[in-house]
Parts: sequence; structure tokens; C-alpha cells
Amino acid sequence: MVYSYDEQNKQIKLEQVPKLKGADAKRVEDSKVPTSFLKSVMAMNLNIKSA
Amino acid sequence: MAQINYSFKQLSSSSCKKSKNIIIESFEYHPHRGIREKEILTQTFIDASLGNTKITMLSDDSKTIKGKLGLIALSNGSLELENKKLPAIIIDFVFVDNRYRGSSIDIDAKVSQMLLYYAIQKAIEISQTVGIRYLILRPDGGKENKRLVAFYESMEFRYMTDKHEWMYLKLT
Repeated sequence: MVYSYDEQNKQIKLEQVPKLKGADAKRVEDSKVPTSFLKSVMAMNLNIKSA
Repeated sequence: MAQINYSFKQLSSSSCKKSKNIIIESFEYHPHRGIREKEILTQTFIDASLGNTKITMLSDDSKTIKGKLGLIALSNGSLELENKKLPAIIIDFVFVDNRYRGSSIDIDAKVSQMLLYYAIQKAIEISQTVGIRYLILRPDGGKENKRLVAFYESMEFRYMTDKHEWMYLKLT
């Protein structure tokens, strides 16, 4: 649930994920997975504790 | 650069409900954008107390730095491509205490970077057992916030459309 702030009305509003079609949808679908970047992030030792 | 002993702590929905005001008041906000930051953070805690989003806090265990450094909120969602809904994880909110914005900690990474690394790592872990194709977010302030957009681009996020609002990171 992503919110932005409406400066005119001074209140937050809920933003909707866009529905992609045509060239936008194809570009996103065809885009490459940044494999080496993802691997480097997975290799990080983040100190994660449960609640 | 401060050397700290950081840790990520996932907050339960009950602790979000119980500690909402204490945590929100413990942060320092941007002098001009503070009202919007606080309102969105408050709503995020309300969502988290209902189980609609999950908040993870980044803290300093060594107590070198007083207070929390920042937090990230993640939820389950989808990205619709040609009327087909593809599973995604949504970064609902990234917040860094105003005192630590742009500062570097530990492995020379900024607090916001650390929070993004956490989100990416979690998304990949989940994608290994549950179908998840994308990690998506909407930079606060949109394309006008050039520094923030450049930061997300450095983390391999790309714009979905020419409107330059929502961004995605492809996971699989």
C-alpha cells in the first residue's frame, strides 16, 4: 500500500500500481534480470532479527 | 563515517499497534517535508498493525547512534502486464531518520541502501519458495526527486513507463 502526499488538499492518497500494456508491458517483460547485482546482494550478511 | 553494529528487526503487527506513537515520535523528520513524512509513516504503521504491510526497522545495536536509523515496509502485490497479473513484492515505504540521511554506516553503505539491500534479499528469498517476479516501488516525489531516482537506478530499478513514476526490479 503505497501512499503519496497531495500538497493541495494536504492529505495522503493511496497510489495504484499501473496496469501496463503494449510497449511498456513488453519492455518490462523482456528486460533482463540483473543477475550479478542480485547475487552480490544475496552474498551480503545482513544481521536480521525476528520480532 | 560512523561505525555501527547494525541489525534489522522485523516488527509484528501487534508491536506496530502497541508502539506506533513511541516509534513515530522517536524519529527526526525533514524540516520541510516532515508533515508528509509523518502522515505517511503513521498510515504505514496503521496498515502494519492490520497485517497489510510488514515493517522492518534498521537499528544500531552498539548504541553509538541513539534511536532507530530507519525502516522499510513491504507488502504482497502484483504487476499487471497485458491483463496478466504477475506476482510482486511492493516496497510500500522507505524511511530514513533525518539525522542519518546521506550518512554512511558500517560497510560504507547508506542507511537507505541497507534498507534496499534488505528488501532485495528478502524478495529473492521469497521467490525461491513462492512465485515472485518483480520488486516494485514508487519514488516519493516522482521523477522530480532526481537524487532519489538516481539512487534507485543505481540499485538496478527501472521505470515501468514514460510517465516516470513506478519503478521495478526484475527478480526472475
